[in-house]
Amino acid sequence: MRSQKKHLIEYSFIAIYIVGFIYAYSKFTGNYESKLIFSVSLPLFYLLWSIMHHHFEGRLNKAIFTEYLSISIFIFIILFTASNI
Amino acid sequence: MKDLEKIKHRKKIKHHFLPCPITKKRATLLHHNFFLFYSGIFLFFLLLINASKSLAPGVLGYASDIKVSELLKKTNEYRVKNGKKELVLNEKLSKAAIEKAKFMFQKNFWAHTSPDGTEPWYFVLNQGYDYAYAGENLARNFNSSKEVVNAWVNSSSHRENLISDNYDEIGFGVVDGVLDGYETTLVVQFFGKPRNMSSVSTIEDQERYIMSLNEKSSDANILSNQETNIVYDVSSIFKYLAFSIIGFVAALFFFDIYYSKKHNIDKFTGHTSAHLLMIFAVVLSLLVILKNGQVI
Repeated sequence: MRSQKKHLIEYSFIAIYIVGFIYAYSKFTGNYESKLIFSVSLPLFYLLWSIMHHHFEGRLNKAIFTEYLSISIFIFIILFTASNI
Repeated sequence: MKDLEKIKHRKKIKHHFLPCPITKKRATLLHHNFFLFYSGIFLFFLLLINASKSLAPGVLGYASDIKVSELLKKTNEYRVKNGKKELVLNEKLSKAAIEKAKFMFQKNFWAHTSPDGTEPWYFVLNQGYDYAYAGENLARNFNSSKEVVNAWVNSSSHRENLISDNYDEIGFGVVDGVLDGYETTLVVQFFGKPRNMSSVSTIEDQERYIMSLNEKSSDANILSNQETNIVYDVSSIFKYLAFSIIGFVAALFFFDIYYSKKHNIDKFTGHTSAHLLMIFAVVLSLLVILKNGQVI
């Protein structure tokens, strides 16, 4: 079992990324290309984070990967739709 | 026997919304195939939007109700509130503002000075407005006149223009067009003080100009979106759809945490709290992406 501290550090990665992402998103969404890049970057980051996190935890399996992949696709589709309307 | 089937059926429905202590899985509605289904709803929505553009143009759009008379009213209300005199609408400044907005669409830029170096004052002088002082505020993608003026009020540099003592007159250009591939409404606000004070517009001039704007409302290219016959506002529809689905999913995740703790269900799944953090990020992103307009 990994320590609570390590969990906290890994979760703080998400929190820091979200703050940076929202700040950058609000500054650089003037054109379609940047909106598209941002739409891909958030779910991609989450997918990579989940793989690393569960790999280090020793809990990475197909079911968990599929769960994160489907949520990442869901996030991408929402942001992609918002960028295209 | 029937009762047993009923209980089984109820349990099945229950586990659509709540985690199952036996299989140690999440609610069915949180399974990966349902996330693909939710994604499909958004893609279908996007498909409908794109189809409607060609099949029923004008039905969907970005509803905005920006009127020159309201922009003038709100600007002057703010000036009076700050102890400043009201500005009078000037036809030349308004025409200069319309030309500036059209020029931005034509050259596809969004700035005070164009990439080829054309300054805002070129449009003012081009209308024969010989100024002692002039200023410019710009806004895009707003829904209402109130939101435009509020955004200017909330920005210190724009607020300076709004309450400056240097100006006597004002002009507005509200023009629809495509900028950076987006259908949008640009608002240009010009302030001015003529070199020759005897040429300052009167209230009668202002009323006459506003009347002429109303008469021209059938002209598709000029001023306010009053003439745009949008039936449904696409961004509002998307907001309702997105926040309903996201809210539903977030509620299921909260139920998942609560129910799992209550019944001590140790699921072998991903982290619900991480999913909720991401949902929070998506909501913030949508608020940013769908927020009203920009000012410069």
